[in-house]
Amino acid sequence: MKTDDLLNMLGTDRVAERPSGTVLWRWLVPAALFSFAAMAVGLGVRFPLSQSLFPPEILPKFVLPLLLGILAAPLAMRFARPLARPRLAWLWVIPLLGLALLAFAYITTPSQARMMAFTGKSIIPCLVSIPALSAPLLAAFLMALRRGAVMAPMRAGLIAGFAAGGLGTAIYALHCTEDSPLFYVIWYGAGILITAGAGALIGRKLLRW
Amino acid sequence: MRAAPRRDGMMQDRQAEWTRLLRAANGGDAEAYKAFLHAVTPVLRGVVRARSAGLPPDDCEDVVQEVLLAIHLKRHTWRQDEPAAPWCYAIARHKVVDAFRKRGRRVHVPVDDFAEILPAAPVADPTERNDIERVIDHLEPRAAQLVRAIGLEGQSIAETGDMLDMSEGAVRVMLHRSLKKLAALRERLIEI
Repeated sequence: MKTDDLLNMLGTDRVAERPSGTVLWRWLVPAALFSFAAMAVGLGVRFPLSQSLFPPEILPKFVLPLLLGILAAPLAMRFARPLARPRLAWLWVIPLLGLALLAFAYITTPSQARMMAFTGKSIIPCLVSIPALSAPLLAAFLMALRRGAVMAPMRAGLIAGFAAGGLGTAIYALHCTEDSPLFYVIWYGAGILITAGAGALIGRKLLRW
Repeated sequence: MRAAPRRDGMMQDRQAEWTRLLRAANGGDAEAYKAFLHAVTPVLRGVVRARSAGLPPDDCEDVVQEVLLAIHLKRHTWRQDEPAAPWCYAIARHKVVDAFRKRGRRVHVPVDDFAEILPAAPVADPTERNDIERVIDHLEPRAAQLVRAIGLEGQSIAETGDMLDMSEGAVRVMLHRSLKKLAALRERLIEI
């Protein structure tokens, strides 16, 4: 085929793909519902939320990861466009808030209770559940990014992992019975990092084009 | 980063022209889109040849075609408020490096190349290229027939629809899917 013929054929194709951001919603909403259902059925929501989630010292374990997800999601999708420059510095707000919370809890927890609060009773379930509940969300982000033109596959996957990890952790928090920041800042953080690392590794392969 | 003033001016003209064409194209102007592709091609060809690392000119044309297909299929990643030329360079650079990598050559393509290397002289598109035709053979028979009719024989959507007994809408959709398939197949099949 001559290049001129190719150009004519390309010019004939008037079907335009939808932007990745639009595609994301189609995948992310079912993925979030699926993860929520998996948590509700497989693990169980901890009721009543007025006691298990809304008290001010407990609320951050839900709100901080949710905020991370909400901040990271649009940043991740920016990687789909070659000319977009994602401002990743905003993401540091979440770990900084987490660390502040951790320091505050460290000071206010009596020294003999710290170790117990830190180890809790559910490190392994937490470290397994968070990446597992985040996986469908991560898949949604990566599928949407694949439609785009990602120039930095590993970094795009990493930020997608933070977005998915944040949202997945917020879902997990509805079940989790650990209420000390000494537990949840550390172990939720670790769960999110595992998800982000997986996102980076998968993204490096999957987002090439 | 800064080039000579004259070249700057030339670049700004190109920027403005490509952006205008691509905007019109997104607005539904098919002729503007063809003009855009025809404007991009010699610039791309110039860069590919300059960076060819010993690849013969004919094979370079395969790379050019591959990049053009990518630009076409990724055009939804450009936004109306962005300049078209830098977007085009970014896509092209990514694909040029990728195309040479698949052919076992590591090339470095600074993005400035696109601004600084002169477009290849307008030749009358000398050779038939084989890569894409080899890939067309791997499409399902009906899609291959459709791509040959439109791409090689230059038939219109309507003519192709009559030939394959398909509606124009179905032909359009199948053409688009086939082009995506071609790009994906090339990723897998082209090993030289």
